[in-house]
Amino acid sequence: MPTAASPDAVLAALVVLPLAAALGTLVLPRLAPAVATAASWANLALVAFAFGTIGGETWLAGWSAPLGIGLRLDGLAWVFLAFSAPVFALAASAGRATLAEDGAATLWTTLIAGVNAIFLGADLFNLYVGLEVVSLSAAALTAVGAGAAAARAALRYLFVGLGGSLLYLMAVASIYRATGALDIGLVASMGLQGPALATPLALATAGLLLKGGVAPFHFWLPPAHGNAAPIVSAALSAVVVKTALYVLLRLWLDVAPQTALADAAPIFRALGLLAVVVGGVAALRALRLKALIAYSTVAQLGYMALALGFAAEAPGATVAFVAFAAAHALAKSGLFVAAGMIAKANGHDEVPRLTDPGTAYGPAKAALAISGGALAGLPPTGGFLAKWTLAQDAAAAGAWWVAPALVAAGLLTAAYMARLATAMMRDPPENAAADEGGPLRGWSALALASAALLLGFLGAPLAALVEAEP
Amino acid sequence: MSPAWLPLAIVATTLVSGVVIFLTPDRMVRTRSALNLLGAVATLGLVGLLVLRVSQGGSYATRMPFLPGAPLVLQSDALSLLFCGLSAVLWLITTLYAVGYLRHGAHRPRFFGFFAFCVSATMGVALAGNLLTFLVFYEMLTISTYPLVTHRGDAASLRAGRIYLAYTLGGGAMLLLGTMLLYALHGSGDFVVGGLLSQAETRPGDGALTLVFAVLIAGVGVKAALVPLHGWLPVAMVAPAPVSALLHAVAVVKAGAFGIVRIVYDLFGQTLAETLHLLPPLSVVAAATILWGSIRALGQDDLKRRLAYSTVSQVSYIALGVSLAHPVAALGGIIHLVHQGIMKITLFFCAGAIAETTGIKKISDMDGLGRRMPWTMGAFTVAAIGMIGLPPTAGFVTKWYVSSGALESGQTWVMVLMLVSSGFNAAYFLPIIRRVWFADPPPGTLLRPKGLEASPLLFGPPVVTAALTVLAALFAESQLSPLGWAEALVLREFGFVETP
Repeated sequence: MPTAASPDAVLAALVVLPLAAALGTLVLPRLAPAVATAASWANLALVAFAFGTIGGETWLAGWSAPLGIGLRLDGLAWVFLAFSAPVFALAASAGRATLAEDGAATLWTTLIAGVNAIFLGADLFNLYVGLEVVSLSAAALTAVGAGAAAARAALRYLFVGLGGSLLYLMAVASIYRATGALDIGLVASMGLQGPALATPLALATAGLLLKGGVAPFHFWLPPAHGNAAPIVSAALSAVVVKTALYVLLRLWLDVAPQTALADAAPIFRALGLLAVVVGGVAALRALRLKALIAYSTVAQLGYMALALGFAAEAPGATVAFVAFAAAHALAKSGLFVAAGMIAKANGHDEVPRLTDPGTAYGPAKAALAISGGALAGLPPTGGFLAKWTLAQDAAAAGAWWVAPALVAAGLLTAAYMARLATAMMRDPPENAAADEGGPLRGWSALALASAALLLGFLGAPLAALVEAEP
Repeated sequence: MSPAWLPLAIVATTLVSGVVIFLTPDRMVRTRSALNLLGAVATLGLVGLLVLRVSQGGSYATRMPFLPGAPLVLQSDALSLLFCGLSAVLWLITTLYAVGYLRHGAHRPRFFGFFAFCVSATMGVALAGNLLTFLVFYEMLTISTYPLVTHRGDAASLRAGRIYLAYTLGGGAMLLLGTMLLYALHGSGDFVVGGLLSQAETRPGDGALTLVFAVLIAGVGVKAALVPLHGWLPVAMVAPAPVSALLHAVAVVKAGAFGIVRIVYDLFGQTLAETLHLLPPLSVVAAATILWGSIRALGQDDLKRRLAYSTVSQVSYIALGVSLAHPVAALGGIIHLVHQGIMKITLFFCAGAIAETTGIKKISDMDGLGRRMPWTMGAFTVAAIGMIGLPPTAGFVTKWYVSSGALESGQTWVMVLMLVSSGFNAAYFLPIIRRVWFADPPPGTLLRPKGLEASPLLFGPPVVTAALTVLAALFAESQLSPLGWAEALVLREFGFVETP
């Protein structure tokens, strides 16, 4: 008799519960924001509960491979779930007004379902379905409650997402034709070689880099992330781009042989460095606050690409990849929520004219400071953990240039974060109206930022989770 | 009984004080001041307790898991206690002064909150038991002092803040790089008496170690204001007086100088530093800084700017003393950590009291000020005499030991440098003293104070620290004086068992 804590039930619930909530928002449109928020928190509770079932797998609806929808939870998947779930929960609490917009609550819960399905996905076609669900709901959310610029950005985002998915689908089809299998473990055991391996890898990688916004495929990202509502931007930058990079990591670690990754490593390293420089310089020059934060995402995604470039020769680089993903997710979502509040209080979001919004915004300002530090990789934050791990492992593999490169990139980040610090020291104009500040939003932002700080102390458990073979 | 939590408690108390201050609403001024003082007194009590325990032979370390294989360590050794004690005493005095100074200012919760964070970071720097922990608090110090430097929020302050951040974050980046390299090469960065690397059975190659040393010293050299990395210090003068006092005496420059001491003695160690010839270049940089700071100080008419350049010069006595590879000179350098602190904080307190009470900021406007503010100018005079290095002040003790050490080790040029430097010190302090006591005040100014010369919270603290300047010299031979502590410390670092 299955107990309540059986892996089957928990893994299935992680996908089914948000989908059920999405239906609920359609049935009860008035309660939609409350349903979406409750589902986001229930999702967090489920993820916490799922910690006990790491190593489990299940087949939805009783069909097993190669026909059913397989879900598998290993340490790596759990870590991705574990940093995404609090982002959804706290962002939903911080953005009730956004979730009250037409359709937003449905899209939000659908997005959660898609994200969970990707992190738990055990076969290549289901990952494709998850990617499509995430792309469609994320693109639609970008346009919610924002202006014409956001609508244009959303449309472009939609096309990019579809294009990326299509490339990935072609790769999956090519693999299926060669092996007749879609399950990741099965495909890996077939030992594909030569063009039969290289073609799908190249197609899927191109598609996923496009969807993941890794430079030079980042052109769509700043307009989409920079124009959406704050909590949508938070979810897009913290989680949605990570889903594509998560599939990329799975593909190169679990499907491709290690030698293939070693061959492709220079490309990932070069793209990573390019992203760090392009994103950093653009953030330094950005006029608008949200554009600055969006370009910072471009740079941070570069760190992940760089870490992937070392995953073949240094096992710790995978840990660094995950640490970058988690630290960026928590810090960036906190930053977007806090920045949204500060921009609203100022009545505009032009960085050179921003001023201190007053003591009511204490938690938001603290979130801004801590997030900025985490993104710049200052100790003892999660960003520092990620850089430290990558630098140490790269040095052990003989790549001594990585440490100075990471330090220089941190300085670039600090330079554009300092623009925000300067703004917070500027006194507001005399006639500025004092307002409440929205304590719930402020504390939500601070909770996310604090999690990014706390992550810095969790290096050992993180490494244990990521490196453990399922 | 193992109160291993004591070092952590000291850092935590100051940190919690900061958080509590932030959470106290702006209008509750008395409550906030009371909580602030409570935090400062509690910290002083904890440091006192730690000093007592350690002087009875105890040794405490708090270890916390941090990065895989690299924990955070807070430990109490003689050197950390010297710096902790200085910080705790001066935090309490500076808090009283700042309450008086900012009586009518805006953003006070922010100010006192970051002030407490800054002290917390300083305590962490002092108690750090390895390079990684030192780095964590060194960076925290940068972040928590930025809002203090830019406190006024005007264009000049924000510009100064940008320059301050550019230098200190750049220095932090160098320190980070050096730390990453050392851990990658050696796997550890523990501070060990006698030097981690000197005592290691296997160690990385000489070239790599020399590079790491240079990168680390450049990192801490920014905060220690070694020429040519000193540019931020005169610019940061836009900060309110209590901030300048703290930055120059305890927190920022001292964290840099303290870092030099740690890196030379406890990381590389005397033996290895001599083998690799790391110290002579440091001596040259320190000597150049001493001269350049003094020369620049001569030309400043703004009192705080003159004091700032004087700091550039004075702090390098620490680096110089450490770099001479002789125990007596090292003693002079290490006690100067404390001596420069109490002297320089006095001078900045006075400068702030003068500016707040009379509006005078320029030395050329200070004619006859001694009649109007006798206590303030008395304290200023004592500290200035200390800076010149005349007995019976703390500054004399420093220069005596550095010079003696240099002579004994045959480095006569240092003796000459000390004399020249004292000449410069006299040249930029004596005219001020002459002006305030012997020049006639401009007609129409207030000759004598009505009632008190200033708020007691403004002139009381400098009088106390000026008294400490003299006491530190008069009781230099006492076991509990800074010299007494430093002696015990140097004996261990240089491997002497008995007093020579």
